[in-house]
Amino acid sequence: MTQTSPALKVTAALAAGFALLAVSLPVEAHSIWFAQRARQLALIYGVGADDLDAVGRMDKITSVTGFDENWQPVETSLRATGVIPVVDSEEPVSVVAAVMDYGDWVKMPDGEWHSANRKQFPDAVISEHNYKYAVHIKEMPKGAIPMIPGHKLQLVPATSVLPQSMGNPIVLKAYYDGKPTAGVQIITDYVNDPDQLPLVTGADGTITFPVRNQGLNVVTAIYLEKPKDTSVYDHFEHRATLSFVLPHKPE
Amino acid sequence: MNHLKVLALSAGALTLVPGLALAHGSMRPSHGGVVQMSGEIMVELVTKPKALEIYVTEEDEPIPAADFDGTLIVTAPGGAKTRSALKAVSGNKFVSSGRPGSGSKVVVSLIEKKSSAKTFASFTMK
Repeated sequence: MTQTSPALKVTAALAAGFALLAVSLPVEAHSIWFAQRARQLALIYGVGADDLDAVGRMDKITSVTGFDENWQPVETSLRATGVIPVVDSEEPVSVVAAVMDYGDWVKMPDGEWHSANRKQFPDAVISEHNYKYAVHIKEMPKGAIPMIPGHKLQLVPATSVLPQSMGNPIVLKAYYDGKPTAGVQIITDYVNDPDQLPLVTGADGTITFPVRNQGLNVVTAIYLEKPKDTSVYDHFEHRATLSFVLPHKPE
Repeated sequence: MNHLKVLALSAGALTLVPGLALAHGSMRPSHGGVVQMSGEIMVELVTKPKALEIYVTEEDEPIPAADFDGTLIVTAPGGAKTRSALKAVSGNKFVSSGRPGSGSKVVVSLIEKKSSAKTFASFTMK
């Protein structure tokens, strides 16, 4: 008879939960997130390992905010350094966040996407308006992370401390319009496994999964808001990342 | 065939040996102060009777203070915040214009002139 460690039991239970929660909705489009580049914190636009032209899209960033450990706002902006936009703050930040309005997009019957809506392209098979959000935790603030103005969709840790080792479970809560929301799609490792079958948040808006990386973790949440009038847009896509780093061993 | 298996197992065992942690410079203060590592830059804060001295090094090598615009951001225990320029005096040394009081939070902000890259190091005054 073999014995199973408590950690393995937790992992097995979580895996069983994933199987039940996983959905097979198509996931398209790109996200924004923060990651370290040459000692600076950079804003990334892309999907998976595709680190695309974020500088060229800086005009679509509608807000950049930073907060210190006491959740006091810190003057924060983005600065283009060559091909990379980096976070420029007046003081150290514990949490930095950004919002991007990516505008109207239509998918045509031939599969091509155009920056327009159904008014211009009545034959479009999909017409949407995209909003992208990014929150990066450099260190957990002293209190709970509140809703950040302008972030209509936001992923928030449900605990005051992040796990320190990959494989340990993390509990996140998805808020849409400031309320915990069920049915939000979650990709647990957007950089290394972007085609992952998304999980979905439960009735209380929470999702639990093992942290994937002993390094940068980028979790993406996706929520499609149905407009009252669908003549122009089929939906508004809200796409929010929460990124954080688990530390490596001391050098 | 068995030789191949042994060779493969040996190679596997070698790759399973934990990697040696490599140090990138000493974390010991060189001037009797306290140190903070920020990225690859080590910032040492030395408290003098009327001022602070700040030394910057990278992988044990002094970095010219003149390459940076330095600012000292002090938050007093009561919450009042002040900013003052750090003066690059010689080599890798900066000097502040005053000495913050006990319990103050001190942030050393360094902006590399060439790249505009920022480095922060936070300390609490004893």
